[in-house]
Amino acid sequence: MNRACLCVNLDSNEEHISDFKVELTSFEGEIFAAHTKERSLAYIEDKNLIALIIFTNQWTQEIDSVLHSFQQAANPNPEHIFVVSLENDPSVMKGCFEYGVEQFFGAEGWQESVSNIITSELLPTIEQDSVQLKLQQVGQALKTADQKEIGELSKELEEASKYDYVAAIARGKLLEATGSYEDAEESFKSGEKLNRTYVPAIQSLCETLIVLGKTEEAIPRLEKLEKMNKNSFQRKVLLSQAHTKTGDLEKAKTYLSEAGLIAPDDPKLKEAEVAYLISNNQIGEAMKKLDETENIGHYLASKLNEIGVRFSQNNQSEKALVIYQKAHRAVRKELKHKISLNAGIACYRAKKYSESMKFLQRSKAEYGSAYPKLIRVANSVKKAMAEGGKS
Amino acid sequence: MSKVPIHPSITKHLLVAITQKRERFLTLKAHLEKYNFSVAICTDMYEGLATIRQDMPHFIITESFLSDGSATSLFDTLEKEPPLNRIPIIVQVLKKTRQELEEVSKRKFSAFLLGACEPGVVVNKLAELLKSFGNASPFFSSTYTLPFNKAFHVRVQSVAVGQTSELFVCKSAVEIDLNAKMIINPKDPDKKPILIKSASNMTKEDQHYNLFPKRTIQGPGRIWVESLSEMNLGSAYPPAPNQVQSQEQQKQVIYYDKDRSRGEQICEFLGAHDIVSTYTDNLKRVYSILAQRAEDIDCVYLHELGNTANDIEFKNDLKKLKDGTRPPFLIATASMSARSSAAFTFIRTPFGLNKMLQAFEMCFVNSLRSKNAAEPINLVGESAEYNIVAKLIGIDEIGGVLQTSFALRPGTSFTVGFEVLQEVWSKYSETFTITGCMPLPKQENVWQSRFEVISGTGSRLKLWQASSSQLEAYTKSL
Repeated sequence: MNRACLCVNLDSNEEHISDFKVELTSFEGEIFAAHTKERSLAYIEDKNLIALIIFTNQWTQEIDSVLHSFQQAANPNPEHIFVVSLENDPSVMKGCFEYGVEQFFGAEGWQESVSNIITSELLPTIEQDSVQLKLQQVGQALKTADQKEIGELSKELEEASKYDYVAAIARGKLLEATGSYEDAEESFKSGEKLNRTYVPAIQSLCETLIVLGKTEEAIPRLEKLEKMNKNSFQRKVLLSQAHTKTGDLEKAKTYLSEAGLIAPDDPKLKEAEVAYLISNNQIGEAMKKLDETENIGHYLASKLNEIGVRFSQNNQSEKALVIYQKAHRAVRKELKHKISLNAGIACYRAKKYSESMKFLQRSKAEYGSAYPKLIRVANSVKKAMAEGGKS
Repeated sequence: MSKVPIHPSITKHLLVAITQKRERFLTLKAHLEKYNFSVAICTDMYEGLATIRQDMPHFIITESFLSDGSATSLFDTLEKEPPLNRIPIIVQVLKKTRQELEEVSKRKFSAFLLGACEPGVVVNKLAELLKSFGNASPFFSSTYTLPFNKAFHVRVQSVAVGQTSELFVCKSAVEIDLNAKMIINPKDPDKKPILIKSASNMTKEDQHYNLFPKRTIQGPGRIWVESLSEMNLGSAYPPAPNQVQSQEQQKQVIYYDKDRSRGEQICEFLGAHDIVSTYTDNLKRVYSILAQRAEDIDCVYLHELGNTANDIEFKNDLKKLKDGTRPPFLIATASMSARSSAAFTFIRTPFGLNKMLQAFEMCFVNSLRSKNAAEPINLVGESAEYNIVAKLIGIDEIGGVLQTSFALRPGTSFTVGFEVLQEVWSKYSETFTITGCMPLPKQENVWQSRFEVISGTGSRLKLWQASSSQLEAYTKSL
């Protein structure tokens, strides 16, 4: 399989960046160069990247986004990321620490070293080590939300997650995507135990702990990380969500404002704001803001499911369905089947059996197959219909 | 000539000087020894030839007329004995008479010295000649492009003796570098290999305890590491992310950096890891704290220590501290050749914060050692082997030159994971030894080491011939 390398220099212009294409001479794959965040993200999305080389002397939120995307979509292993930096700038050091990136090179001589690592270490590992190959597939599986592939990958990474922290985190994310939050928690904890300084392991764990309501475990971890670096947007959002969950809305708002100062345009910010507004009983405003969000994650999805269920249980199925409709549009692909299932249950409670069956069918299609809870609900709907109930 | 550059300092060059009067070369000998040469002085051609055949020197300096021969007869003799005819011969024309000049002009000598030996002139001539064979030995045969390189690796014997919550500990006869990257293969075939990155060392009675941070271990073998006996190395490590450290357990560090903004930000980061730093941008203040309470300090971090007047004064001040009270130093440097020891750990800039934390933790272990903390003794463990990926750059009369991605300490004993050469070399010695190691200039993580297969007794010529013919046969068989 042809592998490519991406060189990113957001401080440079296009002419200069093209020079990098000739510098990695011993690397035989394709080399792409980007000097804007948008182009970097497009390459990460479209190309089969094995490595990311970032040239920077100062940390910016744009670099943060590029690194985040690379680990999410291309390869979660921090060893596939290289930083070329003239000096030890603390913002770069702290920013890279957030992603477990440790391969730093000076401006002189980086070409041969990076080429050597890519050709003699990364490429053979990807080709020969089945775990590394699986790790490369995780991002794509989560993106397409193919539950069958997600399930298979999670099983295949089970053994590796006992000794490899990157595998443990990747497996945790796969488990999250199937809704198995307790198992995901266990996998993230294994990752944290294997490498206690790997921030993505700790933050992923905290994200799940917040969804599970275990904020007493999540907050001390996040606060400790916050002491190391006060400029992480992701962490401010998580802290805001954690405090929203505990009901400490004042703190939640403070972290939200701080996150807004770091990355005012990040879609995650809107997501956190929606969660905050819901907790502050500003449902109307929350729903308006929800329309502006997309790709929302586990925490808000679970919160939306929660209020939908509350409405549905209080015989306000219409309101529940409005929320589910908005949520369905906004949540990440792998979370849609759960929204559809809950919409099906809301219709069932409202005795709208045909509509319920339609939502259940949609949930099945989104999941890829029927799953136990869906089968149970579908059986109940069928039984009610057979007993003469009409929608 | 080598196809890759060979670091000029890794090879100690042997020069044989043949003279009628030993004292003529004594000054030159002393001078050349300062430039990484060793000099053997012979007083006639008979002794000279015997030494040349035995030691295969890299240079010969001979006077034009000897008591039992001449430079010309020496040239003719060596010409018939390849590969000894590769040795450059420098002829010293002492009296510059017509007869003497005519005699030496009959052969193609490498260089001439007219009159008495001027050490500076000789050094320049040698440097010129060295360039012509790429800083290596004249017997050096490049193997850089040979296809066996993928199969070549350095093997070091060790015993995995135990673990702490953060460290995996092995015992071996070598010290392992902070930037080491290698595979550890347990002898037990049921146990899987592991890949380790980064190491430090504790030394006790010639035995080195190689300490590997467990969080850098990769591979399925990590599982057997967890089954090793627990060891107590003291509380060198900060607690897990969800634990709180008591005040007594916190580590005390003096942090020196001229860049105040950077220094303060890094100190804040370290604080979150229960490393309490006293920041200063003044070396005098570092010394003053050490003079007052060195025993309370677990490590001193210096961001670049150069050779300014202040830096030199500080280095001199350090010598005034009471023996055994000086804490370990962690020094950030742009230098590629700085080597860490128990007292001084060097971390190359630019670096990541995780690497920095690891380096601090290694220093804390050394700090504990100097405070007579628990030491691992009499531990029985798993036999294992370090496998270090290496590239054989070439072979020469005593062994050869290899290239690795981190420094191999001089004195490291090893065998090679390449049967074709291991078979030949094992006839000369059970293990081979690194004699010099330097980084290639302007290339990060490329270290060249010269190694000896043969030392003291044993025929270098036979070794060279056996290695060369074995490699030739192997290359043909491919």
